[in-house]
Amino acid sequence: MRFQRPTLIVISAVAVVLAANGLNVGLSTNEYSTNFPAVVCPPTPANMTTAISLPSSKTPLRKTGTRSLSFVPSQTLRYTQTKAPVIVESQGSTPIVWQIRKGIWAGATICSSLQNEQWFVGGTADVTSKGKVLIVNSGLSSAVVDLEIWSEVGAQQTKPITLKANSYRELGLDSLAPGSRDIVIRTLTRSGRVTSYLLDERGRGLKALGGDIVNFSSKATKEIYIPAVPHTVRKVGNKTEALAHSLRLLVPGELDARVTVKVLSTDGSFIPSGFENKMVKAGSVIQLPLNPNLPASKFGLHISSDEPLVASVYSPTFSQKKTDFIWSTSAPELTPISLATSGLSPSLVFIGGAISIDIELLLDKGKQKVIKVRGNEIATVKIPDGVRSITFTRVEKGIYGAGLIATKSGYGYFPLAPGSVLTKSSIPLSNIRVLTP
Amino acid sequence: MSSHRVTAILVLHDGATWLPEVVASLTSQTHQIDKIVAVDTGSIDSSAKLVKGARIPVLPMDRETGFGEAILHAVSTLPEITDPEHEWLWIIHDDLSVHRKALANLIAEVKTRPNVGMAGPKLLGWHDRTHLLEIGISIAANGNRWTGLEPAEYDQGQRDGVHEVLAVSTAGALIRRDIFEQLRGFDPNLDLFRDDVDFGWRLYSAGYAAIAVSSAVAFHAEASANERRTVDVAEAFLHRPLLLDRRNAAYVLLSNSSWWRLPLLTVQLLTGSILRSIGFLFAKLPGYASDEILAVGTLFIHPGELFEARKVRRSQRLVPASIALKFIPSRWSQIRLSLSRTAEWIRTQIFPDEITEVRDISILDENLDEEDLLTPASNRNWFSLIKRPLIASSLFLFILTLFWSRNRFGSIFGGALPEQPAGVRDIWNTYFSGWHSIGMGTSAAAPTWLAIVAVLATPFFGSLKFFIAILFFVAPLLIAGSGYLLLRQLSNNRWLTVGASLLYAISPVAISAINSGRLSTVMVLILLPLFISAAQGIFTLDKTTWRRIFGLSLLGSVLFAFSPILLIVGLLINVFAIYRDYSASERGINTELFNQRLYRRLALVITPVLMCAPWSFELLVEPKRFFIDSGFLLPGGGPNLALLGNPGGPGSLPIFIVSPLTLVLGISLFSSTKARFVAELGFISLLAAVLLSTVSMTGNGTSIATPIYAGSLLTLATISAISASVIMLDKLRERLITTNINFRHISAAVLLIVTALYSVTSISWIVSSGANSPLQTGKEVVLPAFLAIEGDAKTMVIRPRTTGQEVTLNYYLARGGDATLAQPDIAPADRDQISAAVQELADGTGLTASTTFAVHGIKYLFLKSPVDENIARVIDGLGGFSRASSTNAGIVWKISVNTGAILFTDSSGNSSVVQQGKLGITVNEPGELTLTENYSQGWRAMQDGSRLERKRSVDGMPVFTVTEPGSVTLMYDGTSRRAWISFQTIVIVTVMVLALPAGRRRREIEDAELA
Repeated sequence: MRFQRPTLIVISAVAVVLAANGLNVGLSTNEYSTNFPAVVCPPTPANMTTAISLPSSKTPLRKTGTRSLSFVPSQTLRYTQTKAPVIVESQGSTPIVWQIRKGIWAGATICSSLQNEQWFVGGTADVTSKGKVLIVNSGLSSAVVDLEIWSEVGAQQTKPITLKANSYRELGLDSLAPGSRDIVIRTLTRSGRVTSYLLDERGRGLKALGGDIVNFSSKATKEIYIPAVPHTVRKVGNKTEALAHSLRLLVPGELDARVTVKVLSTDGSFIPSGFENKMVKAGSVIQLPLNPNLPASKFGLHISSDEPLVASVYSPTFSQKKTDFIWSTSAPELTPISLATSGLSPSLVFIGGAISIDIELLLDKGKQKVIKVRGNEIATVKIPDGVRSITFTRVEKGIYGAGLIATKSGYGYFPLAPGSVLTKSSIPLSNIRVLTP
Repeated sequence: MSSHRVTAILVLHDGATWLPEVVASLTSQTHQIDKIVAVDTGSIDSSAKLVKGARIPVLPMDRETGFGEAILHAVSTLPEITDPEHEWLWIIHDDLSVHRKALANLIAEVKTRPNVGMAGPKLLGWHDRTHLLEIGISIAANGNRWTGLEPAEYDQGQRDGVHEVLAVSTAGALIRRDIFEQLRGFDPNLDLFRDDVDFGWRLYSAGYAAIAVSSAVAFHAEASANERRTVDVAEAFLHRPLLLDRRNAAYVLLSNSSWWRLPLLTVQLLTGSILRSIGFLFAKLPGYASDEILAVGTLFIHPGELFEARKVRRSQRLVPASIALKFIPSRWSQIRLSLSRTAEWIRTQIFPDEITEVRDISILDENLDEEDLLTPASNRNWFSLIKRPLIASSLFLFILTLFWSRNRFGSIFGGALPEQPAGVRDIWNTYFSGWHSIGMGTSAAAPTWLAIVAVLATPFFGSLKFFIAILFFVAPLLIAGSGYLLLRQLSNNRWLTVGASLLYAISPVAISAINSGRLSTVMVLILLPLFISAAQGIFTLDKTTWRRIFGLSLLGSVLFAFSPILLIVGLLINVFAIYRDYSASERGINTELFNQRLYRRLALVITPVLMCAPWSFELLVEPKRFFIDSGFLLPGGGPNLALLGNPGGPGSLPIFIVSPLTLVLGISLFSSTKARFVAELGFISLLAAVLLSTVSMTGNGTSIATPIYAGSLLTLATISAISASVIMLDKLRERLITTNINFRHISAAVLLIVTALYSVTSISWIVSSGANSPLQTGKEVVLPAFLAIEGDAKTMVIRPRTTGQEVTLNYYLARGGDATLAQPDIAPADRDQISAAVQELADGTGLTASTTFAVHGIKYLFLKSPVDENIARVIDGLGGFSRASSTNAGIVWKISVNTGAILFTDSSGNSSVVQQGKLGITVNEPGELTLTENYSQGWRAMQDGSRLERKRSVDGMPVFTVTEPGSVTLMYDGTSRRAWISFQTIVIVTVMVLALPAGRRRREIEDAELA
């Protein structure tokens, strides 16, 4: 009897503690809002045509440089952009841009949201250069962007560029790095909502030498994957001759890098002669000839280095008696993304280890089709005509991909990367504690 | 044989009680009294008969005859003066017994001093004849009778000698007859009281002097002043001695002082009367309070008397009246005496005279001779002082606090404690104000604890920062001190109680509260032991006086003001007690007893609610605020830490430092002593704290659900555990020695080891990493100085807050500075429009965010470091914000749209910012004035003396329609707040009056106590 009450209390204590730990009376401290930021497409330079593939004809978009800030439905699945870049609320589906100078060259890229840092490995500023950097400020305040340019002789002084609100600028490459043959440009957004693009267009006199859009990579890394390099063979008389590629590299840091380049092709993987542990000097752009002995096909590159670097491959093409070129740039690791491909039928190239991807194709009238891509080291798939959008529903890790588009006007390359990623931001909460240290 | 002739004049008025001894003392004088004349002013007792029996002639007079008039009448019956310088009148009261050598000694002194016109004896108490009543008298500037003596001063010859004084009491005064007649005796307007001082003053003005002769001794019963008989003189309005005394005091001052001193004297008299009246009211003596006011009033409504009196004095004056000023005590003397009395009172309250050594007389002491007993044994030295537990622990705690508080010397804030405004005035402004400019503004009632803090800070030169710094510095000492006051009631073992109080001061909850700047919990830690100490016997309240009930309510109100949850605890205890009483009453024991207890319990619970109104009523409307203490809402540590007695949260002890609290409670539950009951209460508190710690709440200006800090409940559990351990361990050593090893030995050993371990680890932590607490000095303010300059400009402050692994964006509206004391407590709820705009800023969709901000009068956006570059870019990109600065502190944007506190929208919809100057707002055309504050019924706009129509905008702000151009004044009408303050003041004063000890009328005081 003497211990009855204390025992009861001890039991109740244990029960309370268990209940206290078991009950989730506490409220979740954080709430999140998710959204896909609007993506910005590149402006259309003079005498060029831009077609933007959209996931839906109701996709809201607005032009920059206009007073109206309201988004209007696109009314089409393939929006022809006149001049000013458009901002597209594509809600996770990345629009692909197909830009052509009719009958001369073509290029492809993706519309992407604001970027803090963009690396453009490609272009030239020599006498043949007609290329330009296109900087779009889709924000409603003025923006400041630093342009850092490297050439074969080293880094140049940073050029700060100021853009008015809701505007864009075209900067000729020849004015940014006059005389430089091989350039790499890095755009650093200091303030504002900025997305940049690079057009590499070349000509000698009145003769067009082709052009392409150089896609960007978002940072320098030690492992680079360039999934799709079109290997073109042209006939010279009775013989066939493979067109030589050039590998452009920049080690932006202080230390030289040892770089190994591995070719991934349907004929197997190999390291071309001279590309194993090749010493690459830091701080200046180098361009290395790359001539893998391969039949006409597509191959991929895996570049590994002991220092962060950026890289891309310049590949000349020859078609219908026209010379053109294409820049194959690095691609980020493939994730489940969706791309709007209306009006396009790209060939997709994947590289990696064991490739296993499920692609869902959205056709007209809401029909769907699933393609399962399986392979080892490299795999390709051709997207048929009439596909509105493709969605990578299941992707194994360590796979990288890019798309190649071939039309009468030329070839285009785009990385399989999201234009905008789902932004998860915690909902700001009112808290007077912000007013105390 | 002396040549001086003395006529003794004995004035009788119902003095039969004292007269036998008086007459005997007169007749036994060693110096011959030449003649004794008695004047009977209508005595209704046997006074006249007694005196006649002693063969003293009695002159009968009316009962309303004044004292001076009676003396004059007696003098008029005397023969003409023949030897002016040697004829003396000896004034004897019927309650004055004179020593047999009194007259001889008086005569001996006046003989050698020809300028002396009046001499008086040393007056001692009638009953306590070592009690020094007077040795000369004067009057203070506020009219008080001034003797210059300590209260109940023991006469041991310390005042002996012959002193020149302003006057001597008429009781036993020896006055030269010619001077008496020259000055026309005592002023007839002074029937009783102060006639002596007046006569002394006039004596000096006429060129004579007065002396007090200590070798002449008399014993005075002060029967009239002590209300041992009625005062029946004609001027004694309502027969109230105090009234007459105060009236006469004012009369003496105003009729004798120089004319240039009159204005100041008048003010002093009035102020003094009012203050004394208030004092008497608090002492529940309304009669005396009215006496004070009436005394001055009756004098001022008859100024003719004063003019006449001054005229008479002018005619008698030989030297300026200021000659007497040297006898008027200086203000410093009065203050010094008051301070001395106050200090003595405090000392006796805190350190009542203790018998430090009790020696039983035994046969061993028989050989002690008397000399040994008389010689005080002095074996104390400094070292022995340190060995005293209270001093040793205080010294240790002080040194510990020095290390602990090394980062808190100076102005402190941080943790739950906001920055403090400079002075008490700011706090009072906040308290009285009906509108508070916090966030979008609020009309919420300022918490009652703010007023308490303001009162407490006032003695610290009105500096709130100084008070807070001192409070948190001495908090461990105060906590230990209050704990000791409680624990010493539980055990006589000083080492045990002092040690336990030390443990209380370094308990997890105390460390946590101090380190994290939790003002409420610190105050609870200090006050709760005092409350518990005072509330003992709460289950048998019928034996508790109502005064004590209200005293408890007063202390309970303070506790409630700081920690509302304690009201719930009190309510539950009282409900339980009422249920217990009811059960007992149902058994037919005593319904009356039940009612008595019920009323007292209701008073205990309801009084704090009323005293803290209207703040307490707001709690009732929003009950979750009962669980939130003052200051910023900081998280607690959750249920598992709470189970160990540690409330957790920033600044708390780490989990590996385990206090013995739970162990003590656990062991005490099995105790057979009172400790078990205490432990049960502690356990219930502990479990309640554990449960409360699981709950998360929003409030105090934060919309983030935050785990509740159960500091108050854990304080209760800590006190219970420590009390239980003291009860258990008291005399345990003796029990353990006398018994074989059993579970008691084991549990005591475990307890001691755990306690020692906790003490060592917690103290080590306190002096090392514990000093780097959230509450520190020298922290930088959040808002950049240039934003703070613009007074009331609203700035949206956004900053990332890291909680564990998560980083969240928090925001709040700043109004020209960081949050200050009490602002979190009354911070208004978040506005949906503003929170949506901030959310849009964060996710990059807020194209209209700047417009929303402008509508609400927000001029700046401040992104506090560490800045999230993405958000900065988003804000840059959204438009409507232009960067004003970018520094290490953060980035500031100015809202592009022109905005301010008051916006005017004309009939065409154009909006502009207008300013309110001294003459109001000048409006040039009809339109609408929008005040960018939260809507409240109290907002008013006045134009040409009439109110403008007020409506609520869609954004929840007050909008006033201006129909014609002119000057418009915007203001907040705080009438309701003032009404509530008045109500609160009335309740507080009433409860204080009821709680204070009642003063006793002099007639209620025992003779022995008086003298």
